[in-house]
Amino acid sequence: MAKLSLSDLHAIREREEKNLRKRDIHGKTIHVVVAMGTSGIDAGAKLTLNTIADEIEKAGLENVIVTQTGSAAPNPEPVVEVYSPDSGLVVYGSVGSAEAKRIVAEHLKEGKIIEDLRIELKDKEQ
Amino acid sequence: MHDTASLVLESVMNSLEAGASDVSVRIEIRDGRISVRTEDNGNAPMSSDPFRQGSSTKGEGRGCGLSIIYRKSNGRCRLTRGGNQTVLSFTAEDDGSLDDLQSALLPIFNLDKAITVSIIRSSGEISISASELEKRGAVPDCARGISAFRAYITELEKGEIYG
Repeated sequence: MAKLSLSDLHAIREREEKNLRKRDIHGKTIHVVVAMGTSGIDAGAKLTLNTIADEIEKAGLENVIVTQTGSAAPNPEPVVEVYSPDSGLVVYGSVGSAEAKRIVAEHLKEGKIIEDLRIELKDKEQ
Repeated sequence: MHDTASLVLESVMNSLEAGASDVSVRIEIRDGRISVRTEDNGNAPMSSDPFRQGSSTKGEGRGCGLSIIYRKSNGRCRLTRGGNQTVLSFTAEDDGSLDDLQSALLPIFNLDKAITVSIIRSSGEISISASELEKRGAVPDCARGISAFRAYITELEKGEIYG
């Protein structure tokens, strides 16, 4: 899938923040997006997405929706973005299965941003 | 880390990126091999050598999925277009990545697009469509949908749902 530029990501952030304000993502308040482009899949994003799905299901987090986007290269993949009304956009990098479990347990359930997993998005030209 | 289930996901994403609004995947698992045939109605321009990395008409840095399918299938792949239909077929080793169908199919149906997947094994055939999942509230993008999705796939595998 297409690599996202910074302007794409800013546009997504604006759209998501608008959506979250309106609570119109199927009525969910937290939106988790997993970058599932070829480079993300190569880095293990399929397992990341499945782990997040498993943990959300186990915890019964009905206010969360999980979707996918394209490649987040050259950022450290798998990349997971979390949009919430309280924290806005937070991006996590190198999210394997263990990190995915932490994101659900700490960020989605408890509302804590996980600073040691957090990354600043880089554009592919940088 | 592209297992065979990831190649199926790549083939679906390739169809969606080509503008397809309807994607149908047939997966046949037999004798240690997995044969995949993906049909779609996408109409993006096709290059003369679509499996070569860098030959994508989608732009720079894109279209790597097809080159990975080529590599992982040892060249046993084909992309053809006739009329409004594009067909991608490939054969890869059965690496066991489709044994857990729930995990293999969740990323595909999480896309929430008009996708149908049929899986043919020696024990029988099952078919899953996005429209049926939607009807059952089983689109795997939220806790309730994920539960319903898993239950539905389990029932299908046990042969408890017919037709």
